Amino acid sequence: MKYLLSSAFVWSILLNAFGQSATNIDFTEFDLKNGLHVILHEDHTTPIVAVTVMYHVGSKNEDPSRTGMAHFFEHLLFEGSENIERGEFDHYVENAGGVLNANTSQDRTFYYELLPSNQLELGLWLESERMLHAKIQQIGIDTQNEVVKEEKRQRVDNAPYGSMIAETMDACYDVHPYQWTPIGSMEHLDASTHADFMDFYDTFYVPNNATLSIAGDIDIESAKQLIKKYFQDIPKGTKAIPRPTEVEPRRTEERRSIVYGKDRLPVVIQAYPIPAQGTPDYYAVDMLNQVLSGGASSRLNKSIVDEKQLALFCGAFSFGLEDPGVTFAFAMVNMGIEPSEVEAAMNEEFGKMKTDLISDRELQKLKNQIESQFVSSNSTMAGIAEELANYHTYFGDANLINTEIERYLAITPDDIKRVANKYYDENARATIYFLYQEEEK
Amino acid sequence: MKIFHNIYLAILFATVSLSYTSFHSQVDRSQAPEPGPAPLIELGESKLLTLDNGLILIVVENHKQPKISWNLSFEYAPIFEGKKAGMLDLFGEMMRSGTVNKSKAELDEAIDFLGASINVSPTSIRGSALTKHTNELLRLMSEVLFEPSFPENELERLRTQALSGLIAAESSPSQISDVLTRSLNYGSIHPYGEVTTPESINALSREDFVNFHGMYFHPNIAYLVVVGDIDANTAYGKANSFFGDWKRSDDIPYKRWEAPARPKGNRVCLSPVDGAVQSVLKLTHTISIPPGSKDAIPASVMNSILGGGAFSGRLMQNLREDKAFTYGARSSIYTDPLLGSFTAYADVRNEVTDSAIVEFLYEIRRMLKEPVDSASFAVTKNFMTGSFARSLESPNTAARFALNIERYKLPKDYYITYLEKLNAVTIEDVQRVAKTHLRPDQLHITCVGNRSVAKSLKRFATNRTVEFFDSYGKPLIERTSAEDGVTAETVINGHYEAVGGVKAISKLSGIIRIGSMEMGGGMTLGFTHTASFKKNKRGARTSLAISGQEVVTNVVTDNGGYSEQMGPRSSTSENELISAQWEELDPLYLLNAEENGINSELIGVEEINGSKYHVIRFTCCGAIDGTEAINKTCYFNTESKTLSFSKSIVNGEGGPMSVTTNFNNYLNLEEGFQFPMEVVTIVGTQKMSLRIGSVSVNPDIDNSIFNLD
Repeated sequence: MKYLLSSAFVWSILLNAFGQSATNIDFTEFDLKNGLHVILHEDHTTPIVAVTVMYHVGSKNEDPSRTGMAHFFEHLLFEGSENIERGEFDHYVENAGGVLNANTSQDRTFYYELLPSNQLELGLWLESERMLHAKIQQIGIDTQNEVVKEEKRQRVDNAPYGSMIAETMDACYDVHPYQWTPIGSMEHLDASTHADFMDFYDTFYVPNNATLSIAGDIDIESAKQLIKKYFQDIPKGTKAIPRPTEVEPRRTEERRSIVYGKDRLPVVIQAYPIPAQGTPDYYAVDMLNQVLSGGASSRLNKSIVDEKQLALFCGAFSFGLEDPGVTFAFAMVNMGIEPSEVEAAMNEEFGKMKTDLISDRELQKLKNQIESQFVSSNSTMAGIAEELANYHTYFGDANLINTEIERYLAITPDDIKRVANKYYDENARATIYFLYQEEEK
Repeated sequence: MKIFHNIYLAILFATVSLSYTSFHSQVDRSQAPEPGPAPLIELGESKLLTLDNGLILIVVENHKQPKISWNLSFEYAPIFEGKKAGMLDLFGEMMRSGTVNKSKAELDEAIDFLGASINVSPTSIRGSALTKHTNELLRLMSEVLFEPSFPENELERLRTQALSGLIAAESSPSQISDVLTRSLNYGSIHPYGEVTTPESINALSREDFVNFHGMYFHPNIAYLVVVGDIDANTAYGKANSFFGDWKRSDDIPYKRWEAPARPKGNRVCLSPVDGAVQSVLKLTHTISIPPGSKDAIPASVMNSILGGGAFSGRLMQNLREDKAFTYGARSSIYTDPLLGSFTAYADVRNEVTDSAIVEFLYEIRRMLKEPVDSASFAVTKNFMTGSFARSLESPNTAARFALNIERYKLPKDYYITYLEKLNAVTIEDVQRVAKTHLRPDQLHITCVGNRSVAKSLKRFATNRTVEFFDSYGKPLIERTSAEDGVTAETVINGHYEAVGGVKAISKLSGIIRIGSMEMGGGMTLGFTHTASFKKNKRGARTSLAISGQEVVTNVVTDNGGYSEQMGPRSSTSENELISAQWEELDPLYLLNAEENGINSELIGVEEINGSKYHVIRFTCCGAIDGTEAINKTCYFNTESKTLSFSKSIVNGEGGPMSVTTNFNNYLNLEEGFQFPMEVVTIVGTQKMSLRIGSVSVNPDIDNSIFNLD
């Protein structure tokens, strides 16, 4: 992320999983000749417009000796272009009364401007400049190198349990690039040369690897004309776009480890490999996790937090990714409680999911919760633009914004029991205890 | 009441006026495109209705999604929790943990089954559900509101969680920083500054929650804000049927709080975190800009230029984009009806902590010194205009505006004319509010991070000292334990031996001290203190006079006491009496603490400004309101043995206050007794100096002066 707005990372994954809307979201989509995919959603309720570009590149596309490149590159692309002086990018947007930011995940990099609707053209000009001829200078590289290191210190090294995700992903993957996280290695960033950056730009920041998604107070026809004006002359990429082909072999023996740190309360994490997002079993696992940790009456919360009082917090969340991902079962252990006791209690709950079908009432509750989340989502233009881009980028079907809920509602209690047995497999999982160790002074 | 208004933003959005030549078929990329015509901005509509019991209903109708949120919020004066600090943190969860008819598990199940949510805090109950579940939701909300059971076993669960949470917080730099800045800005005996500790969590009982609920959850201090798929009439009907029988209360406590003093100069305060790789820096002081006051909008413009929301803020540009010290540097102004705060902040790597402070101070001072440049000024106004317009995307904004107008007694058109007021702010206004409200020489410069950075930060403190604090915002005092054989008793005995001998003092029948009391503002009053220590005739009378005319009189005896300040007498409260009888009626009161039911404890030796002191803490009797009748810490100089100063926490009208009393200039009088000839008392920002002119020992005293009638 260019700069930090929120770190409620795990929760956002869960919410994204239900990224839906009650009323049908109408949209228009088309491709320019250079391969740029465009999605437009018109809504005149508020005179604002979200202009967004999603590049289909994330940390999984990185050279293993250049990890952190995708995220670092996101920082560099605010530095300016042939026509935008260094530092002016933010200035144009804020002077127009808008906001801007970007973020990078394992799978994609996302840029957005939220502007008054009479500034649509400004947003298009800025994003087309970024795509056509961003200017990458040494002064920007040097500055952002330090800024990214501060970002890592703030969000990983100095943050409570900041290394948790990185340690877990490292334990889960040996061959697939998900083994490193988007923040990457600082040594790799230091070793990067100007030529590396230009190569990354020419390979990934091309119209045929991008989705321009716009939502808000626009007129579709005139927006189309403006989009053509600024984007149609951007040349198509000439290089092959590398996608990882590694397949993580399924484990047959549990991997256990202990990580010592300065956080006082122990944390127990179990990570189970799951299929890629969008597959039928992915939805079933997501529903399974909703039974385990959706709301105060969910099984893990009721049993482990409320009744047994073993943990401050206990839940299970799918980390949905484009390639096969993981589901995290997670507990922050109450003081004076042994982590192994919490782990045993979690396993007991998973065991019940494997042997018994959920009740009719639980199924109805699940459906009511999903309906409610579906209705509540997609209430902002920025959110709609991003979801449309996500569905197109990952599944080639932006209309999933309206129909994905059907995939959830099609899941049966038998499916949930089946995936509990198939994926909550103790031999395939990685288990990590995060324990406190006093530093030597 | 109805708010519905359109605002034309021609002046406000037509700001990027870079020249753009006529349209070419070849795209001219060299210039930013011109904006289109300014769009129309509509503030959402809200309706305001009042129920017979005083509950005010605010409705914002919005049918975009088939759901409704119901937010019941309470407005009352800030509460100081004292020994029970943390009750309010746990209150919401505790109230949501069961009703007369439902256990927590049953309540959770009922809410989750609807796909709904109900959250409780000490100031609100918020419910949200799909339109079709409205009646079930309101039934559950009213059950939580009217019949919470506050189960004992749930309190124990929450207590365990809170204690675990406190332990987790001890290693969280951002949480430590929050506690540290609050307690420095407001002081530990202010509602905004007090800190939850394991002791205060352990002191909580079920009754605390029951009492709080009974005291404050009443309709006449509540607003019910309804947003979503419902019209005002229907909402009124629902509110009436679910909340119409709710009883109002005329006994809701109200307490006025004095503003705590700002530091005399800049203080540098460090809370060490082992192994920290960054310093969490905050430069902060209190600020008095109530919401809706004249300076509120100019001050938000000023703050935005310095380091508000925009990325082009000066702090962000300087500390991140130019120096690369940090991932983000910002500032904020928190407006509050009681007392707000200004904070400039960033997380920076250890090595540049001092350099970052230099830049912070430079940028803050520059706001006072120079008018802001017109470019920054224009960007900031445009950015704020855009932020306002963007905020209207959420229907909750219209509800928030209506609620703020009620809560803060703002003019009805405050938000309708917000953009006009913003546009009217001038560059001169920005500098004026910076000069009026920013105090770059009265800052708490706080750092949560590695102890190793302390040395480089000394130079920023006016007293050239870095003060250390623990993770609960308490001073980390370099305290050693007392030498072997030294006890509270030997220290107190040492003091009395040094000032005349225990035996001689025990034989005193009384004293009279006459002198002058210098108050602030050059006012001096005559001071007379008469005390009789005779058995069954004990009494003490203190008076202050202007030209012989008594203006303040305090009397204490074994049977009670009073005070009189140019008006009717008021009886001394129970708490005050406990402490006054102890201190004033017995010349050996320190030695005789135990027999008065007062606990004394030698807590160690402290070194302060080069002198060493034995420190003894006196405590007594948790009184009705949860505060102590006596909480006094005495510092005895290890060289002279005498009592040098004491620090007490006493209950004043504006809540608890910290009182420091210095006993200076002990003088040996002819009778062999030593008295401090100067006693300086500091209460908050007030300082009173008593100079003793004469002391008579064992005088004749007419006991009628102690009459209580």
